[in-house]
Amino acid sequence: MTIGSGHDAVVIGSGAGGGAVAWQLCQMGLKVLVLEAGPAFDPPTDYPLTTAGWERRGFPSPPGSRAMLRYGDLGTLDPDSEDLASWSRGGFPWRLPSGAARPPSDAGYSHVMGLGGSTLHYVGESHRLHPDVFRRHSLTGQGRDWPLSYDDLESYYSQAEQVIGVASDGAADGRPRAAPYPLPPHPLGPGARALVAAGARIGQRWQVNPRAALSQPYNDRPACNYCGGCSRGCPLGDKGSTDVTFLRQASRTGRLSVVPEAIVTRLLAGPNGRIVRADVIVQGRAETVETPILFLCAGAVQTPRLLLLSASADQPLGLANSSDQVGRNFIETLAWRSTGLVAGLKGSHRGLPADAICWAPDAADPGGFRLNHTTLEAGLNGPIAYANRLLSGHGVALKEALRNQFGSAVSVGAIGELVPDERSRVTLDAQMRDALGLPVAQISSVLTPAALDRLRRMRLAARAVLAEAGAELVEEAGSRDAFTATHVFGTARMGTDPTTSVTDPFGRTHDHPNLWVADASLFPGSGGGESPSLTIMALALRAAKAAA
Amino acid sequence: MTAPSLERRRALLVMLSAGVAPLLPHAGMASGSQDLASLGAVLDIVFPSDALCPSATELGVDAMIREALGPQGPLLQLFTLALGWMDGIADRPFHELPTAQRTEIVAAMATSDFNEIPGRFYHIARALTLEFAYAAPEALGGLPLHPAPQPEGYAP
Ligand SMILES: Cc1cc2nc3c(=O)[nH]c(=O)nc-3n(C[C@H](O)[C@H](O)[C@H](O)COP(=O)(O)OP(=O)(O)OC[C@H]3O[C@@H](n4cnc5c(N)ncnc54)[C@H](O)[C@@H]3O)c2cc1C
Ligand code: SF4
Repeated sequence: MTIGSGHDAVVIGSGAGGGAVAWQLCQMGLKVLVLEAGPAFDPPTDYPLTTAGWERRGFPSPPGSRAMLRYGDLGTLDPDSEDLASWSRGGFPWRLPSGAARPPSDAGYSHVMGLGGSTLHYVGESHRLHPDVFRRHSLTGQGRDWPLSYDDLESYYSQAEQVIGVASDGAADGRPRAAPYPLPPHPLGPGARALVAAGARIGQRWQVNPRAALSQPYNDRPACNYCGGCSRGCPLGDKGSTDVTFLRQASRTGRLSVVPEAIVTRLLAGPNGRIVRADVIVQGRAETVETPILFLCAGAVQTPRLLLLSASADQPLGLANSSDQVGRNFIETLAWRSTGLVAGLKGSHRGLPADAICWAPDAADPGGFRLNHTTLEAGLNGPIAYANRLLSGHGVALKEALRNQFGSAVSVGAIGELVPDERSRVTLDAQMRDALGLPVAQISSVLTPAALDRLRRMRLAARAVLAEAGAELVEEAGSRDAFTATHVFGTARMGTDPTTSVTDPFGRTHDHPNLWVADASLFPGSGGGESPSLTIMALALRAAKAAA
Repeated sequence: MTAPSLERRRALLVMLSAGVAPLLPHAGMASGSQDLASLGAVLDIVFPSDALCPSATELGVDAMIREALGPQGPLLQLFTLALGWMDGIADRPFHELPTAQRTEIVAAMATSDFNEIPGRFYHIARALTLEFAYAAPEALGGLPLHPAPQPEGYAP
């Protein structure tokens, strides 16, 4: 098979951004070629939730489904922030000493390379950014303004919600909507109900979290049956990952070709700045592909890497990089989680992960962070996690404690705005090479004192609602002592000024008229903790419409 | 935040084991199945049988841990050293001691310094035992759980 020509547009990557771009371009009548570095997964057979021992297995990681990476400067564990160290009652009584380098966690930059990208293991929180996020700097002096407004995105948010199937109740959350959610809300589980009640007593307004998980059959997909394992891969295919939504629908137009295990290694610009071709390794074979319109949607780590890898004599800093902003402004996920055992509570392992959210828990830090109910995302729906993390001791006493307390854990997660430190960036590693002999991405990410202060506020709010719910704290974890990034942003940011941004407000690169970016790299800021995929999709739908 | 991946935890265990092995003079010398003869007896103190659930060895956890330790490396070294130390505490190897004495020894190890062999071995052996034992459907007696979350799910 040769894939080199015959298409109108090429999309690199098939995650949140790439899937949505491909759908929109196909709807508009273009023939689209999607090149996806990772493999295709088969949900019913590949995901681990149907067989015993499931708790020991995360999202599958066959060869080629994770990028090789190196970590650079992740900061140091400052003694002044020792109070923010992670701990758990049942875990090892050990921690890195203050002064040590902040390490990456097991997950580090948590991502999937595969058909569907990181949406394959995302939980499916489907958030619109608050309108104030787009004017963050003007309103607060912090972070950056976005070069577009909420109103510019509203109809694309609706479109994305329709395609992936978002369930919620439409209760006020400060994000105006022209259309209702396509699906009714999921019922809250016992843990969420405890938080709603406790929050109401202390002025925290908890509400239904908009979720890309089907509350009833929708299009050709079944309803969720609450197995609780969204981040291990949804075996039913009701979760709104792009493989079963955007890409499946796009392929029905007859205009979509998808090539998995196709690693783009280099982009070449012609004399007029247009990108003329992409070099690709398809299942081990070298190919070149014409690029009439090219969308780069490889995520906030691989997108800058590919632009930097494509440096040439004419473009010594890499493609799209006349501003020298490619790879800079890397934003990790500022996160905290507190977990408690609530005496008398039963069944907190039941229901949908991340079923409830509290948007504005701290009046003194408006737009700074949000809380959610994260018991299932934290893995507290199986006995191994309970016994190893939440309970101490051994013997019959431990086994009995587990039986008595299973289902009483409640975790509150917090994700907050993070303004990146100057050192936070993605570069090409000087030493480490991947299997193709190319330099891997190196991630540096340093938390600022302001970020650590916000982590304290996040902890305070999480503890407050747990205390009101009657919980006894048993575990806490946060960004301070390990780098874990599920939401990453900023490395090809959009803007109106070509000297300080990589793309225009639509995602078209300032330097190359047919090269567009449509993934999390575009975000000039992190938002106030909103999960990003719906915004990535909305931006991608808008960009593809502009490009077609 | 993501839950810690159990698969990747082995790397952490190996790292923790490596941190303490040099504390003892014979690190690296002991290996082989002989040295692990008391393993099952320790695991059954950590995870004994009760009315609703079999013990660690009844669930085959000792064999799974032997496999996880591999033919060499810091994890095997830590286990060999710790079990050797436990076998030398009394006049008989640990697995021949009466249950009460075994229980007492493991309880003492549970509270001992994590930076010493007995404390670190206790925590690592406990973590592995619970991980392997509770992966077995037979261990779920008395818990409101199916063998796997699918196909029934857990409606709220
Ligand atoms: C555990 C977890 C839970 C999450 N939960 C949520 C949630 O609830 N809600 C939410 O909104 N977000 C969530 N996220 C984040 C979300 O998954 C990401 O923000 C989103 O998928 C990023 O989209 P993207 O298009 O930027 O990149 P990705 O989705 O990562 O897609 C990039 C794609 O590009 C491909 N690619 C990379 N390099 C190349 C190359 N050289 N050639 C060809 N292809 C290439 C990759 O293989 C990949 O498929 C979660 C993430 C994690 C890890
Ligand atoms: S909880 Fe629902 S959406 Fe999540 S993996 Fe299970 S069936 Fe899929």
